[in-house]
Amino acid sequence: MLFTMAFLSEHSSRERSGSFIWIFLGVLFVFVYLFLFPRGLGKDSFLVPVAAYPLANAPADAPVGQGFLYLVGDKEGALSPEGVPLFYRTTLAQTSVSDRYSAWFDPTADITYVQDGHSLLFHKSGKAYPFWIHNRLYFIGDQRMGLTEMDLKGNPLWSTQLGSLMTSLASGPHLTAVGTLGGRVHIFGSSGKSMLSFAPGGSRFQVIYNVAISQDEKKVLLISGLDPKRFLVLEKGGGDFRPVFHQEIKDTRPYPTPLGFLQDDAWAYYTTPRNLTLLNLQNDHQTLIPFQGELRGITMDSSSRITAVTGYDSSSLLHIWSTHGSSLLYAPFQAKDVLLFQRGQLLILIADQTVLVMKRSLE
Amino acid sequence: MSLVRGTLGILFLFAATAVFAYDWPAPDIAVRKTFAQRSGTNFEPGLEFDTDSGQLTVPEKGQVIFVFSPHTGSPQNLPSSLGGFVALAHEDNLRTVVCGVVPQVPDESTGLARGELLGTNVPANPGDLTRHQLFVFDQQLHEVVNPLLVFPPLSSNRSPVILDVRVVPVTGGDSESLFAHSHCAVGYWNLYVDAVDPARIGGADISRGVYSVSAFLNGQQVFRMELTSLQDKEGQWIIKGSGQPLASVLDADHEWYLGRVFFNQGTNFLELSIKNFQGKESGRTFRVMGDRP
Repeated sequence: MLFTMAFLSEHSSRERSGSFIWIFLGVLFVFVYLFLFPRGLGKDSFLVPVAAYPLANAPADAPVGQGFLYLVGDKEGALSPEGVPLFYRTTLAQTSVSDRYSAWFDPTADITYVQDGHSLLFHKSGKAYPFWIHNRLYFIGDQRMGLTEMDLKGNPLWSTQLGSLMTSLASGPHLTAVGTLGGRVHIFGSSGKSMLSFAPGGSRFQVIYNVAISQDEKKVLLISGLDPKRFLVLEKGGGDFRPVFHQEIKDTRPYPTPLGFLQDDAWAYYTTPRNLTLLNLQNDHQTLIPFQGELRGITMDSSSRITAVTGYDSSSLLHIWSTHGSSLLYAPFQAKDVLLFQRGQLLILIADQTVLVMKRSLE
Repeated sequence: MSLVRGTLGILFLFAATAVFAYDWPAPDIAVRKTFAQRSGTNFEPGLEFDTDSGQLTVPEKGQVIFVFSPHTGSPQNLPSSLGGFVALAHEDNLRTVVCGVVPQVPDESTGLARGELLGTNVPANPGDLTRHQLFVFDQQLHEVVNPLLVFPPLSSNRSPVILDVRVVPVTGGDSESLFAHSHCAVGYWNLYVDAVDPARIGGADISRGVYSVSAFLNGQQVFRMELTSLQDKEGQWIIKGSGQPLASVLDADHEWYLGRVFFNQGTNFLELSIKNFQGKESGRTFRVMGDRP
């Protein structure tokens, strides 16, 4: 106010009227901005550590109860719903787990065992290797060229023979997607009926490196081919899946690399040697997030914050990124075998022999 | 004259390199399981072999297109008996996959020359059962090829053996071994042959599958099958050239189903011939008396 009075007293009337117009326009601009473009003040997302548990003290065996199983490195364990370790031990080779189910193949007797917690559901003779995806149990044939889905009583639901080595396998609630060394992706229905057999072109060598299927089963992601490698999004239209997005990617690594969906299938991600690429599946907008090493775990919360672990050898980094690629937090730690996942409201990081339970908080 | 000799020399060299286009990934290969051999419900779509060599090498110049090392943290760490493996794409549209190795190839896809290191022969995890397998895929014809048609021949001093020949009435009933019975009722019978290719590997006797089976009844060929390549059709292996599902021809371990044959009244001559993968042949002739029921 003092400034305005001084301003009025020290300037001519012509200058004053011109300045009034500018002040009026400024005030008008502020009002228009505030009323026509209202914005929340925004909340910051915090990762709040809830508890940390050393796994070295966990018993080698205990009932799973309401807890869930996990595999990390050559170890298997179980956590309670609150993230408290129930047991932790060296796993048998060729073990697969999902939630409270586990299965493993005993190569000395050629028998596959399938358990619910500690109860044996069934065992089956023959060379078949169990693999759980979201509580669906698959038996992979001896040479990765056959696939059978089993029910929990040990009966085959459907079975198929592939003419090439299986390189990747993904599952939705009903569909199963299989990628092969021959460069073909197959999608099978819940009774094993072939829904798609598609060989993406555009590369010198046809190979499928990774496949992912969305939980609503309307989208399928692929990493295919070499020279160049390509990233594809297939979308269900009518009864068929069709490519709706594809692009070359700068990557010549001849092995499966991370690929998947985030935040209720709203986003897709894949990695190249130097970047994490995020694709917004609603508008095809992409974000490149540089990182070094390998992607060891990734989740996205409802506020679109990405929590990820990267690293190589025994060095790991915990990151929080925005979907615009801004680094909001990073924290280095020493761990070689890392598992990061969201379980309800909890974000659980298993790093070698430590379980860190965190909670997301918006303030 | 010298031009002709030079041209002939080049042609000879070309032929020689074409014949031996692929080298075994180790010099001391001992085949344990042969192409399409049945074990329970599984079929071997390549070869299973033993080697004492500490290193496995590139069979032919090619591009590394897929590498797998079992590790829980890796994406798509699918379980199988293969262990670590490396897949190469070759210029002739064939792809070879050598399994049971710890891959020692660059992290980026690269071209490798014949004889370069592919991987070491060490179990990925202590206690793992290391089995070496070799597959050959024809990328153009979409089929799995018998590796013994692509790789140099292996020596063998043993011939394949016919263990049993059985006939079963098509209307059902007990089977009869033609080793023990020489009389059959006139009519249609299902014909089965039990045949193996015996070998001694690592001090143990093993039975491998045979390469081909032929049958002639009264001079007429009633069956001929060679295991050259397999194709997958509608979720099952089909023997190329025959259109028949592998599982219906090899209906049990070492047992071939040859189809239906008709025994006439009086004397019938059934001739069987089997070959192993080294081309050694064994045969047997049966005189079957067809009796009126």
